[in-house]
Order: sequence, then structure tokens, then C-alpha cells
Amino acid sequence: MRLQHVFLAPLVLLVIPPAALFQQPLFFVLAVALVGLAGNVSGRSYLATTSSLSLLMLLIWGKASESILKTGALDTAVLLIEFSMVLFFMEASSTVLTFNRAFESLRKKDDEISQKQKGWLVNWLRGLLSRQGKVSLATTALSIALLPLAGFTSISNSQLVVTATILFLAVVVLFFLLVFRREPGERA
Amino acid sequence: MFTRKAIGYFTLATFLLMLALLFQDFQLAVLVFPVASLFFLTNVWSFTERVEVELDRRIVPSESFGEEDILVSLRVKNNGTETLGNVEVEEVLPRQIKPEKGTNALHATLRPDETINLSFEFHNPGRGHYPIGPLTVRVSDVFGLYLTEKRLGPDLLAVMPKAERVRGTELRPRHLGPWSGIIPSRTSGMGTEFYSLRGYTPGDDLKRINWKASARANRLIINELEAERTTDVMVALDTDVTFYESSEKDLFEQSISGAASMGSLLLRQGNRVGLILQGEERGVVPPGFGKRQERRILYMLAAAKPGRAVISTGYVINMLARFMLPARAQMVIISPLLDPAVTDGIRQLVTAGYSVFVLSPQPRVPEKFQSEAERLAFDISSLERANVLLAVEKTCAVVQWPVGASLSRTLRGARRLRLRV
Repeated sequence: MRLQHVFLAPLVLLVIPPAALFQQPLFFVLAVALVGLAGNVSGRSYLATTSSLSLLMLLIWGKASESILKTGALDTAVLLIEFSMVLFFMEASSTVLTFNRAFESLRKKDDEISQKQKGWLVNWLRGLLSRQGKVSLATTALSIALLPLAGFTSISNSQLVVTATILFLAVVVLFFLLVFRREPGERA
Repeated sequence: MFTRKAIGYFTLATFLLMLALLFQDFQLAVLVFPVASLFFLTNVWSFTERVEVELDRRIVPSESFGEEDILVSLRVKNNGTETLGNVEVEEVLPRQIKPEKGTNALHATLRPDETINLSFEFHNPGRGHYPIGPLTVRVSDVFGLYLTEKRLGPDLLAVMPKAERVRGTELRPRHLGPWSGIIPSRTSGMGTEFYSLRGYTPGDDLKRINWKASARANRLIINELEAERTTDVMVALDTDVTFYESSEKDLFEQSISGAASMGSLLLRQGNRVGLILQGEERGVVPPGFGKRQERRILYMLAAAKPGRAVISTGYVINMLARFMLPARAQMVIISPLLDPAVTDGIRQLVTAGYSVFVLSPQPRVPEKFQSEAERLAFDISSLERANVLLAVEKTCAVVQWPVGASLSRTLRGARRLRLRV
């Protein structure tokens, strides 16, 4: 998990048209990989998160720049999988860093109470990573299944009312997906 | 509640949609699907509709005299029917407290009806009031997009000053209560000390007949004993110890220890005792009897902090004494006598008929000074204190208490603390 940026950065950035990265893809790969590695090794979550978010933004920029620079398009499934991978690894890395921080306070303690708590922490990490993995796999599969819906974006943007309606509907759907089954926040 | 992460993902998805429509690029729109699927699947798979957790805390001991380690046991029970996969438990602690065994923040998984007992132990942090908590339990989905928070309010850990078992103090106030105690009352009654002789009257206890005196007087004479009673006492603690920085802490802790010891001693002797805290922070415990009153006094002393008084100590002590004590009762003032204004206050109390006893912790002389000017300043302050001491000694009994000396021994040296009016 600590080396995830070293593998992800070339995988994501080297498929982006070099023109989108000012003809310096290697520089971006190195920068993202090193910052991410430093964050994961030193336990500084802000570095790891910054690196993951940069990767995500560069991926989106790479895609948007294809339209601006009129370069060849990527394979949609590859793009989708790369995007899902970045999301999963960003979340998993954050979980591992949280675990490391919590475990650090117990590392030098050998008493019975601490040993028991270490066990709970390890179980929590295993369980959470496994569930995150399952949800991420299902997310990718569902996204691929939903691919035909993306054809709506071919509607001309000169029809402002139609464009705005589609955008509004999509946002409402997103919002619904986010909020349904949620109880209102409460404190006891 | 939704987390910032959820809002971030929502914003990202909206931004992607706008870009897709702007560039009419279906591949950009496709990137919205993982985010939308993530929202949907975390809702359906990884989070319960209702989170029902039960929280409980136990602090052992919740009141301490600073000798033992403190154990805090937290109990978190999942009363729901589904497993809570991402539970964060955090107990907020004051910065002086660092767990030696276990931790105060943990992540765990909680199955239905499962209970986790999160315990941690720490060394006693010393005199003071310490809030333990609030305990916060955050339950969220696997990606932390939504969380439910449950809270348990803080409990108070009171580490009270340890009272020294003092012997040898004999207070002689003019006001005495009706209850039997150990203060000689200058009247005949139930007691242990001889008081006077008088003629026998029918009904007197035959054991009290003084046969030698009866033989001399040729009639029956009996011994009368001096009645021993209790009194009302107010212990006033002057928390203004602004003198010389390095010795202030010792001076203050000694004052606290003195107040605790005197309060406990006077209560053990059966007196009605109250406490006045006078300094930057003020507080009063009205006079009362018994173990509960001792606990009230020690509890207030546990939270006492040093600080310069805003209102004159003499004025406050005078006002409260008149308000809370009967006339001619006893005042015990524990003060390093650093404020010259205290002299007038004590004089007024004595003039009003109160018996006043001053216990004055003596500031420690530093081993070395950083400059000659500092030494000079210390000497001038010491001289000022000596002047105040001299003035107070003219009106009431004063005992100087050197730092580190036993209070028992110091008080034994000052026998018969009698008021001179």
C-alpha cells in the first residue's frame, strides 16, 4: 500500500497525451510518485492525499485536454478503471494511515489492555480494507454497466435549456444516491 | 451527518458533468459513474439505517488523594441489528493526562449486541479537577462519506490534597457551640479537666466527691469539671502567592496542604468548619460538620489555583466572616502575608471579637539569584513581609510555617494559641 503511487502514477499519467503535461510526463510521474511515497512512508496523510488528488485531477485534465488539443481519445473502459483505481487506492491509503496513527500510540505498550486493543485495531483494518475492496470492485462493475447512459452528453450544447435540464437532473440523481437511507444526524 | 469527503465527491461529480456537457465528451461523463455508484453502494451495503449504540464510562477511583493510578473503563455496545464496520471511539483528555496502558482513541468493528470495553490507565496527574471526556463515538460507512455521532458528556476526576494528621493545636475562641467537643469552655459541665469545687447537692454523682476537701470543710464537697465544647471555624485561604516566581508553586501547594490539614483536624475535633478561598478565583464552603463537609472542603481545595486577588483579602475575609460566622467565633487564616492590606482586615476581625489564628507559610529562599538586582528585590519583598508579620503578631496569634516542615511539629511549637484583645 505504501508503494501505490509509484505504480499508479506512471499507469495513469503515461497514457495522457504528453502535450497535456507540457511535454514533461516524466516530471509529473516523478513528482506525484515521490510526494505520495513520502506521505505514505512518513505517515503524513496530507502529502498522500495531495498526491492522490493530483493524480485524479491530472487524469481529468488529460481527458479534458483531448477535447481542447484535439488529440486521440483513450479507451473508455481503461479510463474508467484507472479512475476507480485512483479512488480506491486514495481511500485505502487514508485508512492505512489512520491505522498507523492509532497503532503508534500503542506500539510501545505491552500490557494486557494495550495488546487487546492492538488486536481490535488490526481486525478493524482487515475488515475495512476488505469491504472497501468489495465496494470498489462493485463500483467499477456498475459503472461499466452504466456506460450506455453516457450517450446523453452528445446532445448539442447550443440547446441551453436542454443542457441545463440534463445537468440539473443528473445532479438531482447524484444527490438522491448520496442521501437516501440516511437518518438525520443525532447526538445522544 | 455528511462528511467533507462526501461534499468533495459530490462537487467533483458535478464538475465532471459540467465539463462533459461543455465539451460534449461522453468519456468525461462516464467518470461520474464511479462516484454515483460509490454513493449508491456505500448506502446500500456498508451502512445501517439506524445506529443504536450505548455508551458508559467508569473512572476508578473518581476521587483520589494523588497516590494511585487512575483507570478509565469505557463501554460501547451495539444495540442495533447490523454490524458497524467503521467505529471510531475517542475520549477527550486534558493535556496533563497521557495513558500509560491502553489508549483513549481507537477504531473497531462492532457486531450486533457486541460490547467493546475500551480501558486505559494513567498516572495520577496531581491535585486538581480533570474533566474526563466527552466520549465521542463516530460510526461511518466504509468510505467515510456519512457518519453518525453519539456522545457521552464528561465526568470529573477530582484529585484532592492529602491532609496531614495534625496534633497539638488548641484553639480558644470566645464563642462556643452547644455541642460537646474538645475546647475548654470556662464553665462547669461535662469534661475531663478539673474546674472548681462546690458543695454537694442531692443528685450529684457520688464519684465526684472530693474526700480530702470534704474532710477539711467538714461537709461534702464535689469536684466540678470544665465543660468542653465545639466552635464555629472558618478557614480562609489566601491564594495570592505572587512573590518570587520559582518559589510560588511550593508556597501555594504548602498553603493548600495547610488548609486541608487544618480543615480536617478541626472537623475531626467536632467543630463546624467552613472554607473561604480568596485570590483571583474566589469560593466559599459554608460551615458544616462531619465527613461530608471534609469532602466538600477538600473538593474545593482540589480545584484551587493561585492568582492575584482583585478585591482586598482583608475586606473579603471580614465580610464573609460576619456573614457566615456567629460573633466571636474562630477564624483560621492561611496566608503567606504578602499583601500589607491584610493587616487591616485582621485587625477589624479582632476588634469585632473574632478569635483569629494566622498560619503563614514561609517563602523559600532561592539557592541562587540571576542578578544582584534580583537578590535586592527578594530582600525588599522579604522585609515587607516581615513588617506585615510584625503588625499582624500585635493583634493575633501567628505561626510561621517553613517550607518542607511538618505542620504538626510547627503547631506544637506554638502552644496555646490564645487570642489577645
